[in-house]
Amino acid sequence: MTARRLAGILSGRAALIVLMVVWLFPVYWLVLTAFKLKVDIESPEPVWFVVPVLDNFVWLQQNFAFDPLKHSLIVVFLSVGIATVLGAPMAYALARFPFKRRDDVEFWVISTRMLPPEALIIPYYVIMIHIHLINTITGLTIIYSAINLPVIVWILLAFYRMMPASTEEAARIDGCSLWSAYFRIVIPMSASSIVAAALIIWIMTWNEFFFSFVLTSSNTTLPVEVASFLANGFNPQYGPMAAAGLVLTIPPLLIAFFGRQYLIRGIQGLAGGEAR
Amino acid sequence: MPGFVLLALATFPPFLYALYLSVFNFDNQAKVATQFVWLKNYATILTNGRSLHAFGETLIISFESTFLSIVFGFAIALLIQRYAPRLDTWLLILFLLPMIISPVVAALNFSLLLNTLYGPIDQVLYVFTHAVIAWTDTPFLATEVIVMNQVWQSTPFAILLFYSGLQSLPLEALEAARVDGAQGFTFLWFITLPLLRSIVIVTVLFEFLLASAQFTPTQLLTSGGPGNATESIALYIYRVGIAETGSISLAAAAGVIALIVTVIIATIWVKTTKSRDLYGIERGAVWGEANS
Repeated sequence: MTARRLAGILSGRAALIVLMVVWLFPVYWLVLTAFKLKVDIESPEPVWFVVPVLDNFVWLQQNFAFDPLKHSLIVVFLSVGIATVLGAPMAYALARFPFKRRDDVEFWVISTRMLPPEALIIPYYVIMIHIHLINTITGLTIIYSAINLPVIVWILLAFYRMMPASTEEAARIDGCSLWSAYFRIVIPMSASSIVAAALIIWIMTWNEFFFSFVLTSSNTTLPVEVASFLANGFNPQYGPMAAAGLVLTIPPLLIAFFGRQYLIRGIQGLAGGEAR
Repeated sequence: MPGFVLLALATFPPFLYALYLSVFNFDNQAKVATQFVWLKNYATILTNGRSLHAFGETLIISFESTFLSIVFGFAIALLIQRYAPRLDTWLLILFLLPMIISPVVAALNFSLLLNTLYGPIDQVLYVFTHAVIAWTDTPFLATEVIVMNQVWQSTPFAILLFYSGLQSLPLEALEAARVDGAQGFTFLWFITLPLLRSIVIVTVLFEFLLASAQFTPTQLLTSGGPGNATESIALYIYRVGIAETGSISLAAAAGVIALIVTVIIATIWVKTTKSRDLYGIERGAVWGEANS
C-alpha cells in the first residue's frame, strides 16, 4: 500500500514537472533567443543553451524608437487610474445602496464586459475619425478607460458584497458623512482588493493589441510596435524581435513575482465572485 | 456617478451607431453614411462565402481551444492540488505566466518556435522524419497553430479557477464518498465534477468568449492565411471594414451579428449557471450535514 502510494505521488509529481516544462518551454525559448548571437539563432541545429550576450538589446537601443514605450506608459497609467478611481465607488454603490432598477444597472455594467471587441471596433473607429481622436493617445486612453471600467466594477462588486457592512454603519452612526465613511473605512478595508483589480487591468491594458493596432498608427503603443517585427517578412530580425518581446514581458513578470497573491486574487475576481 | 456616464457613453452610442452604420451604405471619402439600404448588408454577410467561413473558423477555433483548455486546466489543477499542495502559489504563478504575457509576445514566440528553418520544433522533427513542416501553409495545420497559441495562453485561467474550486470543495462530502468506496476516475466523474459544476460552466463560458474574440494570433501568426483559411471574425471585420476596401457598413453588420451570437451563448450559459449552481450547493450541504 505505502509503496503503491509513493509510486502514485512520484508519478503525479513527474507528470506535473513534464507539463510545466512543456508549458514554460516557449518562455524559455524567448529568453534564450533574446540573449543569443545571430549565428546561434540561425544555426541549422537547435542550440539549447548559450552564454548570454547583449547584442540584441544593443541593437534595439540603437534602432528602436522609444516613443511607443512612452505612449504605452502614459496610456496604461492614465486609463487604469481613471478606471480605478471611477470604478471603485461604482462597485460600492452597486453593492450597498438599493436604488431603482439596481439589478438592471448591474446586469448592464457586467454585460459590457462580455461585449466582443470586434463588435465595437468599427463604430469606435468611425467615431474617432469624426471627433479627430484617431491615432491619438487621448483617444486610446478614453477607449481603454471604458474597457477597464466594467472589469474593475465586476471584481470589486463581488468583494464589497462579501464585506460586512457593520463597520461603515457604525461610522455613519458616529457622524461620518457618506463620502468620509467611504474614504476612511471602506477604502482602507478594501485596499488589497483594489490593488488586485488594478494590477490585473494594468496587465491587460499593457498587453492590449487589437484596439491599439486598429486605432493608432504613428502614435502607437509598445505591443503594436513589437508586432511590427513579425510583419517584416523578408529579413526577419529574430534576435531583436525576441529581445523586444522580452522588454514587453518584463513589467507583467515583475508584477507576477512581487504581487503574486494580488494577481491570483485579481484573476479569480475576473471570473466573478460566484466562482470562489 | 461619473463612472456610469462614461460607461454609458462608451457602450450605448457605439452600439447604436453600429446598428445605424450597418443599415446604410457608407461613403468612404466623406466618412458619412449616405443611403439607407435596409438589411442588405446583413444579407450579404449571411450569404457571402468569406464571411460565413470566418464565422465557421471562429467557431471551430473557439470550440477546440475551449475544450483543450478545460481538459488541461482541470488536469493541472488536480495534479497541483494532489501532489504539490505546499508549493501551490509558486506553481500557479509559473503556470500563469503565459496568461500575463502579451498576445503579441505569444504570437512572436510561436513564430520563433515553429519557424520552418530555425525553429527547434521543426529541427527536432527533421532529425526523426526528414520532412520539413511548414506550419502555416495548410489550412488544417494553420488552424491548429492558432488553437495551440490560444490554449497556451488561456489554460492558466482554467487552472486557477479549477484550483480554487477544488480548494473550496467540502471535505466531508469527499471523505464520505471515499468511505463509500468511490475511487479514481469514478470519484472524479461522479463526485468532484458535479460538485464543481458551476465553476466548470463559468470557465467554459469565459474561455469561449476569450477564444471567439481572438485577433492577435490570426493577424500575426498566419495573417489569416493560407488564403483566407484562418481568418477569424475579428480579423474579417478589421480587414473588410478598415484594412482592405473600407466597407464600413458590411463590417459593422458582421460586428452586430457577432455580438448577437455572443449574447445568445452568454445568456444560455449564465442561465445554466444559475439553475445548476443551486443544485450543486444543495447537494454539498446535504452531504456535509450527513457526515457531521
